[in-house]
Amino acid sequence: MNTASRIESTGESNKIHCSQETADLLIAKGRSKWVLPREDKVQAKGKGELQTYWISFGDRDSGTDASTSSEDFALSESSDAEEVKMVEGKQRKMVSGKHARLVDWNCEVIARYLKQIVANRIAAGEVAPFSTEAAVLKPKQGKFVLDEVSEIIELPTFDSKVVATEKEALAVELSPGVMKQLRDFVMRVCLMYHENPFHNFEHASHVTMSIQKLLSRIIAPTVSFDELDSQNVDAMAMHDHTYGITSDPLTQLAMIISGLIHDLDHPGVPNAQLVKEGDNLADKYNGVSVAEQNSVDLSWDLLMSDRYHDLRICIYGDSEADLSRFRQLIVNGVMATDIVDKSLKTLRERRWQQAFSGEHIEDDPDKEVNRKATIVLEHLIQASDVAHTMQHWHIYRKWNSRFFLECYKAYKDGRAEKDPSQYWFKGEIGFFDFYSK
Amino acid sequence: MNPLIYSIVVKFRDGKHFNSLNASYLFFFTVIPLAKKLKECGVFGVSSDEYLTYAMKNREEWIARGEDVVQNLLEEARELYG
Repeated sequence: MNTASRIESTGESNKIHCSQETADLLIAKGRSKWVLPREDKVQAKGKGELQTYWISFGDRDSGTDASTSSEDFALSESSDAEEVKMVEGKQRKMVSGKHARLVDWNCEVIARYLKQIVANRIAAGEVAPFSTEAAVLKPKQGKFVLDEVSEIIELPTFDSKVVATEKEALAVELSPGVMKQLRDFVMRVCLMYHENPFHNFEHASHVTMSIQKLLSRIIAPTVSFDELDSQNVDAMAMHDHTYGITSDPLTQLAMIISGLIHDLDHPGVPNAQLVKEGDNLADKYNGVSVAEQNSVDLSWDLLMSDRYHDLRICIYGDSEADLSRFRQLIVNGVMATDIVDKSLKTLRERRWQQAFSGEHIEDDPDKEVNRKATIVLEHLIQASDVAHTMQHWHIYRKWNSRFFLECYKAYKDGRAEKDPSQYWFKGEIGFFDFYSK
Repeated sequence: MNPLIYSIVVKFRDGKHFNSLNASYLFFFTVIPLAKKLKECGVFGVSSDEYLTYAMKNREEWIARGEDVVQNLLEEARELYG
């Protein structure tokens, strides 16, 4: 409110004045030419100096209009000044300005959870640098990611001594080395995504955004938003109500990273098509959850490399238990995004019933809580994977359009049986109606 | 259950039709149940209400405008990929 009020009162006639947030949204949509930074900063009560922007349509002809296609966005984005180049062996790849901004955004989100992890360690009495050797976990040869999916992941029990406040977490500063490795990691993840119309780095970022949003809005039923704002929340009540998810930043970080990597190296066609084509990956994973297992394997290999030693110390230090839980959460999280595999789907339905129907009671109450936490986390990432269908119509349309284009391209390339326009409309309604009953 | 929906569900249950049915179907078959589960587990506060409300609204909007949308999508796809 203060920001909007100050922007309004400090505006000038015949000019459109906007905040940093609005400018960022316009830039993200390829309208960077419309945005001009205001030379003098605006003072806002309680917020200090604000950088604001003038919006000008002087370059409209050279920009994009409301009917511009996603391909045009990509062209206008690639003309932005910011380009990041990385050299991988002999291959030189470039990240466009748009992707670079998404990389930055993902780094900011991950850094927030890393700070909470570090703050908790400090609250537990550990002294920086915590450890000098990061544990490494290499999957056993011949063992499939799918085999690692666990019905119950054990989350830490509540300990008030190791729950740092948000204020304490904000006070933590991550070393430049950790931040550099984090950015390098996210950048490489970005480069390992293909430029598919739908299954691309932007989709991964959108999923991550939904996970972050859902995690940030977790509340106990007895807690009002006013109390949340004043940080008077009873951490114990939150822990119990959320099955331990809120008091473990490592769990939350694992979910964020699962969202970021879940479609890495996605080929732009369904698993069934890879199997039909006899693709090497389909052979490697016996035709089951092919793309998902590949995403976990590639991203885990990347994270375990020596270049991210300091980043891994920050995530789990030398604790093999934390490393093991981190891996387990990523495995369960990414494998939950395979919504096609019938056996996985049936298994998840059964586990949800066991957790929430009240028919299945565990002797061990901690096991009962962990069962609920595990299945809730899987549904969190699953819902986030299709979050665009649960957001505003325009967002749904944007992603629906991209997915249609991906399917149409596969059809034209001879990698799909049918033209998607033959079934797109009726199919969506059919399943909507059937499953909503 | 109407014949169209019945045939889709049978094909889905038989597990034969994923390739041609395509994940577009799967998007919506998961949407409302998922949104309901987020609400049912009681952890996500107002977000689960928001997700469920938008899912229901999008379904209605799709019924009203989906056919036109698909027509436009097809034209756009043909321009891009032939």
